[in-house]
Amino acid sequence: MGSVTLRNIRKSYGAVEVLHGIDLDIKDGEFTVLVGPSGCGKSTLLRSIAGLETISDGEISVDDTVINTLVPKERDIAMVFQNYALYPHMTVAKNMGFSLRLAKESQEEIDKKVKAAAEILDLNALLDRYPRQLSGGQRQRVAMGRAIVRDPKVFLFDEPLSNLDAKLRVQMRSEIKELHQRLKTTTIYVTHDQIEAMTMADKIVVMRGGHVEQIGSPIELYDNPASVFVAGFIGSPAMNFIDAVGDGKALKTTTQELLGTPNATVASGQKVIAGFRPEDIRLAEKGIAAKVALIEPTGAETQLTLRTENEAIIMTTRDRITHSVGDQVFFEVIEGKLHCFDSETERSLAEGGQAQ
Amino acid sequence: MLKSDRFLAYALILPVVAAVLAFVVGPTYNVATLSLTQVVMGQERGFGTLNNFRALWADPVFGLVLKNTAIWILGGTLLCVSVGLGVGAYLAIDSKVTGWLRALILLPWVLPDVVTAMAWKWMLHGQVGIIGQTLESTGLTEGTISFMGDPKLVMWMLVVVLVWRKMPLVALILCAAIRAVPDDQVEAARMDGANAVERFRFVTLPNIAFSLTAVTVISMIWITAEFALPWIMTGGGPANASQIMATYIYQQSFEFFNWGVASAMSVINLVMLVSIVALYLYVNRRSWASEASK
Repeated sequence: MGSVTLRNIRKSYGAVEVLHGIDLDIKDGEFTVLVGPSGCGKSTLLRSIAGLETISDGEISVDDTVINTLVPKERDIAMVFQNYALYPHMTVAKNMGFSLRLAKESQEEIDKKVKAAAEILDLNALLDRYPRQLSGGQRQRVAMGRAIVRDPKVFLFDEPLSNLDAKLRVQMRSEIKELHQRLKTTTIYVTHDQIEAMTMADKIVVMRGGHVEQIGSPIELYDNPASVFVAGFIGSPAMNFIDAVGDGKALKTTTQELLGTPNATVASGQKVIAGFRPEDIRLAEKGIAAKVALIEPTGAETQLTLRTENEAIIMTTRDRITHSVGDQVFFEVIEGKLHCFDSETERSLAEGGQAQ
Repeated sequence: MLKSDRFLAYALILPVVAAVLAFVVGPTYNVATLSLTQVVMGQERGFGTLNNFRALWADPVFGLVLKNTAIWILGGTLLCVSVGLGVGAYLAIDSKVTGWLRALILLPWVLPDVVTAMAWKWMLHGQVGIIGQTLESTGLTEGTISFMGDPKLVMWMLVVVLVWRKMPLVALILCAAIRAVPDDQVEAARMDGANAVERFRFVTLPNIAFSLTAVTVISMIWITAEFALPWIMTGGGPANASQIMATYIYQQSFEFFNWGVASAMSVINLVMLVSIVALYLYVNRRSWASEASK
């Protein structure tokens, strides 16, 4: 068992508060990803859960036991670090068994557990090697093995893949996810990469400036972003945003072109920010006029940059494009895919959007 | 390689080779031959004898000198490094106090040898020294202790002053090494359940092992070569109780003009130093290799 509850977590360095009261519930066995730009406090939050940082206020509990006053070793939490943090003078086996050795377990027991963990991670052949003799991916696996042998209640990952090259990152991503599905240990994973968050998480926590912006499953966040920030952060290429005005049930651009009906009720004349994803627009006979500014084929899809009077709109399509740069085109937003955010608070105007 | 290039290469290293020959190999050769030469009253009387070494063997003071030198070098190095390690570990902690101390601690190290020696000589003086007086006035001792006059104490007093003088740099080097230990390794050890002592033993020490052995050998060499401090403070006295290799060589050559015997001692000294360095290179051979492969 390993459910984690955070209540009103605050953390200050001197007069500067970096976490402004974080509340979070993580169910046993859940894979939770904390995601956000640099400096949003996600790593600080993770390190607070680990016990490497003390919190200024609030309560962290694992299975209803308050742990924020305990030292790391008493928390029954294991952590995988960004730079692997392997002990360079110890072999792979020693690295993995170090925590057990400190816990004064018998050598037999240590060997057994290390072997079992090595089996899971396919490290058997490397047990006598030193970290410097391993590749980046192998080192990362050893770091994970070190966490696994302890059989902790919670795994913490602090941007574990950011030091790997792109191809290896994709591979390790699936390995970590598979590992989680096998072990079913509660996992909290920090990353700044929204694709990692989307692909791995059961639950994503989007953070910004020490606040939680939105919590939800990847698809929830993608389909119903609670704010302009979340909408822009999740998804690549990012959502298009343009200023718009309410007009009856519909939204119009500032140049009085019809955008469509949003997913929220908007008063006539209300200024809002309209948002729509690149894949949710299509070229049409009529609609908003734009010029093709850039065509970027990626094979499966083609990304178009359309320039309207005031904005540049990104569009992706799986259709083959016959237009060329400079052509005059019209586009429209697919029915039901128009998001709408308050222009002041930048929160979603859709139902439930204000709740967060 | 072109022929002209080869000439240029030799021409470029020639000055260094000449300097090493003139100032390192030359004098060493000179001392080595002198140690095998009979010298009487400053006059050379015949080459090719082991009489100088035999004389040393027979000299009752030489045994004492060897014992004192062992205390001086081994005791001094051991204390320098262990105290330096403790102080260095403390200085590695981030705080305002340690920031200041890191600068202040170099003070003993920048003072000239002569000043250090004179200051300590007076502080440890039997009758008027402040240390003895303080001990007496606080009632810790009855009467003053003659630190430099007591044959049993004097060698250890020298070692204390030596540590005071040489330890700061050792501490700073080790402090820098400790601060260079990757934070995430220490944090990983915390997560693995290591307490402060275990973190030091299993993470910090192995990470600074290279610096630690280097600094040990360097201190050994410094201490072996240190002459001014013991010479000014005690001059080898009382009654040779603090006579060490460096001071005895000086005394034999420049007070008694026994060049031959002094040279013989220098050769023994050199052999000792070379063995230390060789040991160091042997111990660190793996580190060299692994550093290179990184």
